[in-house]
Amino acid sequence: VELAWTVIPVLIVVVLFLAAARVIHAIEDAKMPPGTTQVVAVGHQFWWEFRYPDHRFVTANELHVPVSDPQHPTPTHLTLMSADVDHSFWVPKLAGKTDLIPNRVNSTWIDPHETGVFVGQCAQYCGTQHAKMLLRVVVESREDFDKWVSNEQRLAAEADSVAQGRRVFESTACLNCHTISGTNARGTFGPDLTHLMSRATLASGAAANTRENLHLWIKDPDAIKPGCLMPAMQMSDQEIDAVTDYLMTLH
Amino acid sequence: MLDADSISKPMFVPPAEAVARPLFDRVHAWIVTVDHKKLGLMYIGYGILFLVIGGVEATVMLIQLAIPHNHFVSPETFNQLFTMHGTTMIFFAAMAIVFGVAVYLLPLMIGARDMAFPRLNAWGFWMSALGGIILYFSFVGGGGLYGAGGAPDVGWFAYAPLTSPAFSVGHGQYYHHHFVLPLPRHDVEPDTDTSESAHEDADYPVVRAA
Repeated sequence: VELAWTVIPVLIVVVLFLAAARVIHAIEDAKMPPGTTQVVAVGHQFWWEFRYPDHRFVTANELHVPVSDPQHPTPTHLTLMSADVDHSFWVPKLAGKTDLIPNRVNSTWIDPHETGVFVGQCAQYCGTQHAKMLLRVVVESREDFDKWVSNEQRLAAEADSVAQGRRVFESTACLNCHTISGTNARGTFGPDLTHLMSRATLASGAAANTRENLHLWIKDPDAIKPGCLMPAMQMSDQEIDAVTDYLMTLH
Repeated sequence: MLDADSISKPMFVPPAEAVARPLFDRVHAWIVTVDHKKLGLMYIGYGILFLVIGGVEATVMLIQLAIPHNHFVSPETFNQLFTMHGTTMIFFAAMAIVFGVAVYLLPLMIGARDMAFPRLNAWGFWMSALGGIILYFSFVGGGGLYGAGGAPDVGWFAYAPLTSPAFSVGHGQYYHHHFVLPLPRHDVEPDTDTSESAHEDADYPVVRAA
């Protein structure tokens, strides 16, 4: 009888271990079906960088993915990295949490079956503004996704009417941190602004992307997101207006 | 000279009730005690004190969270509060109370006269008290000499590299990982040492290059 109390639990544990190992193996080593969208997500204090290596462009904070068909799944595979401290990619309706760890490459995948906007949040405490390190996943039809991709691949819009704003942007410290493709601004510390106006939010989901918010954000980032790493540049109101006008054209 | 009469009479005996000793002596007796029962009660009292402090911190956090976009405390303060709350509740409340019960009961249960090394036992309690005081001093002293305050704000789990100087400005974090060192139980929390190893490779590469 005593032997049975030892042997039976051991067998139960062994069986459960094998069952779990099988499922883990199936998840971890699953082959990516053809048509998988590859995205590299890089966590920053306190925003998200999304690179699309197959499509050769970079965006931020709003991840667009094509909707997947259960019969012919076209999931999105995410390679997760961090530029500074630990973060965690968490979009509750699409997948569990996966950490972004400096000096380590993690991965996860999502396979959304319906279109819409899914909100997420950094889920590993990463510093002062961890709370407003939000992200949005836009799941859209293949046509809309392709349209969005081809827009993202374009160089930044240029309009003579906002040349002054562009000049301010390129002659001040803005370009140290931000990239606007097709201009001198090639910074990588902050989000890519090439197609800023294609995003619905500013400051990693902290505010709606409106002219007033953008103006306030440039004038005093701490008013929207206290403790964020973007400094207030102490520009004159004229310069801020000009830069805002310029950024408003970056569709 | 004794006579039969005086022998048969009882001598004057003072009443049995103890004379209350002066307050100073009583406090002194508690401070220098090596008695496991007294130390056990002191641990429990200490744990309850920090339970209240941690509870106050939790209340402040809940007020902040009561409505969305509340501005009751700043993000920095909120981060300090949950870090201090977690640290306090685990190291100063829960552990101290468990310790107190064990120190009080264990010698009684095994029939020993006291703990082994009673002075070490007393030393352990006073080092715990020192740790708690130093940690709470960081609220006023953590930011430097300006009295601006700067309690640790990296979460009680204190994951590197957030704890490293590159990301944790000020020295609130030093309080967080040094307060544990005087405690006799610091070996149960090896992860507080990660910030120290993080100092050594503070200039680790970042994954910027595209």
